[in-house]
Amino acid sequence: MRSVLMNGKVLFSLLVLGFFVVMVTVALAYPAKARLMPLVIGIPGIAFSLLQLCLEIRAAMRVVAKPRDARSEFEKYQDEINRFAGDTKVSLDIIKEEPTMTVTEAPMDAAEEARRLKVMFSYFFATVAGVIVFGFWVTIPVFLVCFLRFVEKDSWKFALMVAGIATAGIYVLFELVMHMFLFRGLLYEAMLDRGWLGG
Amino acid sequence: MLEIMGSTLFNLLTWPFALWTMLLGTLIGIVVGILPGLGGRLAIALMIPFVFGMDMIPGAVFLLSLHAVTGTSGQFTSIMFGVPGEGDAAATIVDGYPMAKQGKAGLALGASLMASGIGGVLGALFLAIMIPVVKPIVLAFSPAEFFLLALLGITFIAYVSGNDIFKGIIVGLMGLMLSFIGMDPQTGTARYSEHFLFMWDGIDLISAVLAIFAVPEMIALGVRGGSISNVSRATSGYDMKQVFQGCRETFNHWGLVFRTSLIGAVIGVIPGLGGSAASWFCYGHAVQTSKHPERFGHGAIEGVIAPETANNSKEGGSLLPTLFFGVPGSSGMAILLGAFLILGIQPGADMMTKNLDVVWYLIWALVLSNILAVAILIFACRWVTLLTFVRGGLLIPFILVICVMGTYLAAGQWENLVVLALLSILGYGLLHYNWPRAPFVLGMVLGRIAEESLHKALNLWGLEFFLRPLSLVLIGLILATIGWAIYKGRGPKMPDTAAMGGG
Repeated sequence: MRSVLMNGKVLFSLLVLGFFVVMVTVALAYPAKARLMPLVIGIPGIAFSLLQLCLEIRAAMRVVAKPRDARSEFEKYQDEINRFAGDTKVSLDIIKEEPTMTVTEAPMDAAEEARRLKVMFSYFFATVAGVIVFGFWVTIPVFLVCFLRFVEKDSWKFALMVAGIATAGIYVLFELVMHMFLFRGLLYEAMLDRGWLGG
Repeated sequence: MLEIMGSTLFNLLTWPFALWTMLLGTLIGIVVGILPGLGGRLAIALMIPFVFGMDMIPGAVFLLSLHAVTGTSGQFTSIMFGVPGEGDAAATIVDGYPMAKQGKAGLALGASLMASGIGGVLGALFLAIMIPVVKPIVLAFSPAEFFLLALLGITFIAYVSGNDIFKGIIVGLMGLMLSFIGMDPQTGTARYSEHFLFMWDGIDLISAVLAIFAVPEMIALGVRGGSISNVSRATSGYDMKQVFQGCRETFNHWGLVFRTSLIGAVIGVIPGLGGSAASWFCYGHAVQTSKHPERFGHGAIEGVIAPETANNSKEGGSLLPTLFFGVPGSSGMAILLGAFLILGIQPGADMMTKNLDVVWYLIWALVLSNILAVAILIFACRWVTLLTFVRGGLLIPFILVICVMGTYLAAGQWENLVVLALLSILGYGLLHYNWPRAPFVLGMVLGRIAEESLHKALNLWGLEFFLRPLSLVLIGLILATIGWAIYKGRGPKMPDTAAMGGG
């Protein structure tokens, strides 16, 4: 039972159900006209997501391996053609071939995938937090350098060069050409309010 | 009608800013179509913040041009490398790739480019011709029916966007629920936002679109860490003579081009059929109508022409339900619809009456952007192909920066960055656990309109509104779509078909 509850799909379905339950519960406190649509949409939402949760729990309890589709991409195309070409049979040269260009992915176990996920979200949240506190002009170059250097494993020279060019380009395009001014951060605004920046 | 046709074309051609946005949109669409890791939907989502505040026509022209040509450049990798650039370009591989291996890459590229351009133009003309045909149908809908149309739109997009229609409907309902956050126009109640002043106008749509589409794609790309390996053999290369010859070859198959353009446009009109259906259907049609079907699969040029005309002509067809009924013809159109609403283009009967000129601007934008894309690609194809070798990981930080910038610039509120961060967790969850995301955007986009429509309907007819003939038709269509999805195996998955594990 514990493994069922720890199943990611089950947890996500539970989260979705929880979302609808909370939204409907809060809506009950609103005046009649204000709560109409949230209830009209939320109650079916609860019903559907409850159904989905039950299905996910059943699926998690009876884990059965899905037969792996051993067909190549090109063989799948053959099936698509046979659906639409009627009685005419089409044999494909490409079935015996490989694509000239292949996309390779590094082999990954669940732990490595989880680590990468944490890294990616950490960078993203740190960037958002950085923009809010320090503003775009500090955060953008720092983020670009760190990401290119530590995640993409590029050299310091490349990372600094790319970050510099990108930041300069954004400044020219947005602030000088389009007059769209980017946020300078809560810290800057606090310092401005206190007169520390002479503004 | 002729007067509007002529005046809008003249205005567009003499409006420097609109022409500039069309060119920019076309260029970005070409680049996006060929870059690995990006797609048309992501590109539109990224560009929405930057059209916010633009005039309606240049903004709409920019986004539509971008969307219309992503399929045109996607065929490069299909033909040269056997890998579809955009999902709808898969059918082109079947004969395009063998042609490249026979040393006829230029011929295939030229034919596919010209076919794409002609298909796009004919699709736009199809839309134009259908305007007087659908006018009485559109005008028969009262604003009250929009509530059911919104639900129908979500159902269609749920059907086309994933393998499980119920997940799609749930996600659509989530989008609708989030659209209710903010000040209720009926009563002035601050729903779900009593303590957050910045949310009294609702959750910012741009933040939501970026959080649900763009950020999770980049997070997933970073997690996968994919890279394009070296090309395993030297590319066959091509010369420009072959490319021009391929362009001329398209005109030798005028009948096929015309038929497949029409079929593609009709398929585009029908929401729920999906983008690749047009390409495969037309490929099958080309096989069935050929005097020598045995050539297909071995480098028949008709096998390149047919899917490419359909791929582009369907865009004109899919604009029809999007603009006049608010029911997007595809998931890409769902995001485009959101952008149109931000720009002030309201789908429905007004598009037929007060804003018919806007429709014509969009038709001409489709025509001109397709012509422009073909012209650019024919002469720049060598350099464009180099983009396929751009490292996917290099794009991630820039796209994320654009997302953060776009979120802030849309409304000038840093609080929306918090919304972006929180919703991106939901977006990644939807992506990771295979829940479709397009219905969410549609729900958010149509939520307020649907609510207003329901209140109007109840004020006018009470609950008897659901028994009106048009309402019954729409309810029937919703139920039929769900029933069809369950019949075709797209309903909720039962345990004996579940995959092992679950993340």
